Amino acid sequence: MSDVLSLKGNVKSKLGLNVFKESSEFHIEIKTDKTNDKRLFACVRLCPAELYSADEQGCVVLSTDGCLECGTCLIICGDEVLSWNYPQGATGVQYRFG
Amino acid sequence: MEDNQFDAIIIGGGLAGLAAAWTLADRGKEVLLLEKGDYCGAKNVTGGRLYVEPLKGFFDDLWDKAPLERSIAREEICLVAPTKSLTVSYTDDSLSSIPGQSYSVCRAKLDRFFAKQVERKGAVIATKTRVDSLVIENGAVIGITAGGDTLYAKTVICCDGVLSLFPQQAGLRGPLKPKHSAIGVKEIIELDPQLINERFGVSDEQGAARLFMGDITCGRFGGGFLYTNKESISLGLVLGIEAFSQEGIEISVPEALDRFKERPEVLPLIAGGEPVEYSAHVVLEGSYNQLSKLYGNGILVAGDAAGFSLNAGITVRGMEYAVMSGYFAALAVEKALEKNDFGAESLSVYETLLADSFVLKDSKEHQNVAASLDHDRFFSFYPSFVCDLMHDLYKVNGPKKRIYPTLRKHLTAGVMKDILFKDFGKVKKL
Ligand SMILES: Cc1cc2nc3c(=O)[nH]c(=O)nc-3n(C[C@H](O)[C@H](O)[C@H](O)COP(=O)(O)OP(=O)(O)OC[C@H]3O[C@@H](n4cnc5c(N)ncnc54)[C@H](O)[C@@H]3O)c2cc1C
Ligand code: SF4
Repeated sequence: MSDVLSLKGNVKSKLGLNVFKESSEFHIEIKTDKTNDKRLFACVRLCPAELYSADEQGCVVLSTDGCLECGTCLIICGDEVLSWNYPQGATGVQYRFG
Repeated sequence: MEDNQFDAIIIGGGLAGLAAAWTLADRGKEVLLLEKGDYCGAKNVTGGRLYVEPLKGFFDDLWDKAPLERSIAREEICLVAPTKSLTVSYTDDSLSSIPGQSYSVCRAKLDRFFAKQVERKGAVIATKTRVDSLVIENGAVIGITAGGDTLYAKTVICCDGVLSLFPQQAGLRGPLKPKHSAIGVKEIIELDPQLINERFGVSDEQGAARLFMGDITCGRFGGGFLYTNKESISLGLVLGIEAFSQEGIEISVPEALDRFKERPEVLPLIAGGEPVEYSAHVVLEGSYNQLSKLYGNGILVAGDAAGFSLNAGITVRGMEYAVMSGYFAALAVEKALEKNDFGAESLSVYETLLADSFVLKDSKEHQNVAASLDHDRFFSFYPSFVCDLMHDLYKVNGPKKRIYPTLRKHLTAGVMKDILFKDFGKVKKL
């Protein structure tokens, strides 16, 4: 098989191709009483960086490391469920091609 | 305050913001552009093909010098069913001539180059700076805050891209809905330029665009794209957010992209290549009805932030609209400066300028396209139908039916009725 598929199924490694600059803040947070909102479950499947996952209690958790800042989760959930901002200047993903 | 007031503050150093800054700086105005990325383009993703033709005549010789990738000489479309596909490839003398009408581009390179030209014109660009909010006083936008500082301007041009957070803050639009947006995911795959030339039948400066529709989006609204760059391939999917969220689709977005890469219509084209970047960005469905209000007191909106984008499922166009709306926003600011009046009425000339240009004309002309395409038949039934028909036309496994009876077998009365009564009306809107 060609090496072009070597990262198949491995989103973490794909994210490893990108340049990310660390930030001290979480630029996206799930609002406290919303962790089992139906819309968050759509993010589990649609977030391109696979940053949303459902835990055993049926709540959705989010880690923002590797966020591509695409905005998909904001569009799905709106600001009722998420407090969403771009990361601070000079942090987050820095595309070299785009 | 007057002393440290800019003529314009521009939020966002994408194509819209850079075009606005270039135009104002070219006319000697005091401009500050704020961009959160390390450099302009650092946060920006496109498919990418830029139609340079409509932009010629603006921005001096910028497009002649810009780091464009390949001139698209070959247009291909591939209809994909689960185990079959039909690819049509088109070229002609005008597509093959150089300079061509459209070029593949990579935004990190293009925007960075554009930003240098903007600085040469005299505008100030502050990168690594996230704007936090607009400053609104007595119903008028008078500046912005960033990192605890407040900066004032006679006008603020919002070019902050598709999520359009500042036009929302100013009350010019509501939040984007899943129905009107798609997610774009993309890989850049480095590949030997010689292999690119051979695989796509092009010369060093020429390239190909191959668009995919059908099973790759699980038969839902959206499509796949492949553009050849000088030394890499841009490969990605655009998936309607509402359509792809629905029940019945089990796979995730990253899985859909992996499946797409493995398709026999794709893999041989990228084999031997090395993935070097993975990116994602929301894409507007884009229709006239979804446009933001384009101006208010002290504020103008351009580019994706205003909703200027056309996504017909398989093709997305937004870059030319971003550039030209940025340009017209700058002209509107120039006129407002002459009158020293920055109220909504004075800035409304922006909409008049846009209405006379291809930006608003295209938007109106295509307003029903996305709605009519938001129809799974176009993304599931037709690609399979055409591929099944081709299958029977080409299959030889015994006595062979003539072409007409084969066509009749597929074009049954029921299918004909659906085509004529269900879909024809929609096709007319394309
Ligand atoms: C996958 C995909 C494929 C596409 N394919 C094509 C194509 O082939 N052809 C085409 O013409 N169009 C295509 N488009 C659409 C095109 O990319 C967009 O229309 C275009 O990029 C819009 O330009 P813009 O300047 O309005 O916005 P953007 O390029 O998004 O720029 C917005 C800028 O604002 C900055 N910004 C945002 N918020 C802040 C803040 N708070 N503070 C400071 N800076 C901020 C961002 O960092 C960014 O630099 C595609 C889009 C995608 C995602
Ligand atoms: S912005 Fe995009 S990449 Fe980041 S968490 Fe949301 S969906 Fe995932």
